[in-house]
Amino acid sequence: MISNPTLEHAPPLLNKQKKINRNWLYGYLFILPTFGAYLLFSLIPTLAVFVLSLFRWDFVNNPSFVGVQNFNRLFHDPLFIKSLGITFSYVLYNVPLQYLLSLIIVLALSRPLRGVKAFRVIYLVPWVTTPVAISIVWKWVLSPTTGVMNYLLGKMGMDRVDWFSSAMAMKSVLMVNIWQHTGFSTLIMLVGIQSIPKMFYESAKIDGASVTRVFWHITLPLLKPTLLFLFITGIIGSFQIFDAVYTITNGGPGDSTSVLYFLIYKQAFNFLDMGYASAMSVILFLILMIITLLQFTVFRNTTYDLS
Amino acid sequence: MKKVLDYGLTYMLLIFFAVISLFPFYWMLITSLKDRKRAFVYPPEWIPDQILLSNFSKVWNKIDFATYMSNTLFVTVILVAGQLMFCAMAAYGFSRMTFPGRDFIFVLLLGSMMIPQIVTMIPLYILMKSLGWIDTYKALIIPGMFGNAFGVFMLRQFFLGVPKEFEDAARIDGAGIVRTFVTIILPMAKSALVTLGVLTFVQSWNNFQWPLIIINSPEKQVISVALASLQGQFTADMTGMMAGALITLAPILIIFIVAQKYFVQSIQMSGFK
Repeated sequence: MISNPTLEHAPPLLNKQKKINRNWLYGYLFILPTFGAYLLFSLIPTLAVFVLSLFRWDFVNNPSFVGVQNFNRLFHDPLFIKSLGITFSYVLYNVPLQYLLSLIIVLALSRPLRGVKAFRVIYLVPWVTTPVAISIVWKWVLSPTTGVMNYLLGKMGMDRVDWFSSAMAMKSVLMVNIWQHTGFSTLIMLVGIQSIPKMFYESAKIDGASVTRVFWHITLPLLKPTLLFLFITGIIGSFQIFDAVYTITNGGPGDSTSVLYFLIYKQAFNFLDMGYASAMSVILFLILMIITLLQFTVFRNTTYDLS
Repeated sequence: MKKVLDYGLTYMLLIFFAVISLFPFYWMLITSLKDRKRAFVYPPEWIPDQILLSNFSKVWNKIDFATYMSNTLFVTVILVAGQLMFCAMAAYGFSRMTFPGRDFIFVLLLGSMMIPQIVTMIPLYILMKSLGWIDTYKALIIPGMFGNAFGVFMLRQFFLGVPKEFEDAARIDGAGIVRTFVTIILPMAKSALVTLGVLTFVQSWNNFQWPLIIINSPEKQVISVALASLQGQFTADMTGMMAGALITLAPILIIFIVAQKYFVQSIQMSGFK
């Protein structure tokens, strides 16, 4: 912190004071574009969504204030309730499955084997690819009658699966998403594991600790910050699944894959029901806030015994 | 013996996941080279006996890929340039300068990583509408070109690792803040800037939801939305569809192959130490 300028009256310091203030100005100028854009395009819109949720507005008539009516309507809207359920169960499957898979791959990747680096690169390919394009490819792979997936299942003596039926469509979206994002979480975990100081493992070796013990008592606790990051970003990301749903199932069949984001998109841009869609966004935002805060608390309170 | 078995199993596991990771790309490629009717043959052919390139010209003539690609490239290049310049400036400000409220502002900015995009979508759309930017590239470029929290965070981590002596030396030589930043700091951060650049490029190229609601004129559309609309026209022709997907993915895959090191680095620079 800068000391209180009024305490310094000596003339030589006055120059310094001026200089400090000029440096402040430079500091503000350097961060101004990013921070200004953040206020205008991120922070203010976030606050605005709360205001909008109290209005009815279709772009045709003037916005009219309706108070909490949108929220009343929400809680009695079977489609919204259903959509909330679909989204929740999707997140509950997506996050643990993806990270469990990542953990298995990481344990294989962190062994001192030749050529392991090449695998890291290969696993990252799905992560950079355009979701819409790759969803179209998966749609073809999973095609119930002529798709290669069902052919392979048949070869292995399993039954055909109707991948786009209302019972399976959401699972197909989940599968495509796990395929696309596991490489990223794997590499994040790998970085976390590689930054654990070797001395922990060496002393565990001397003590003759078993592999599982080392994993539970050294690797997992020291991975905590990495896992916290993955869980927070992963959950926020999973709640916003959209591209794959739009491309593969378009919300159907019926409303079986109508996730929250898709529902909000339809309310806002197909039915021009801006206030109602904003109320949905507010609910989603509050859910995510609560989950994020919960995660911070849970992660802070789980202390491990490293002794 | 136990060790050999152990390593063998590890390799098997790694290869299995590698095959799963790459299989859709293989299937896309060979389907796009098949004759239209041969694509639906059952059991499927794993290696096409003839290689047709006509599917590519077919989709290329059906929808104007050249236009969509140049539209997307135009938006992407400006976004990348803006992101690099403004993220670097902000990161330098947060890491090297002192001013009241610096750390508070930084935390506030980091907090924006927690704001889901979906929450700002509707108000942002309304803002664009009131500015008269619907169906213009301004709406695709301006909200995203001034940098974001992740880019600032990543570059700030990098700048914190640069010894102060370099700047001090430049300042003694009489260079001002701006000149020091441009001539000393930016060249040193080249690798970090390339990393942020390739990430931004990929994100912008893949962007779908925002252009979907902003751009209405077909000739202004970006490639991801154009590809999605192609689905309606090629329902019974998987070869054309796969050719279209391949054309869309090609620039991204090329960038990934050329700059794979930087993608891996972007993850390592996320700063979870």
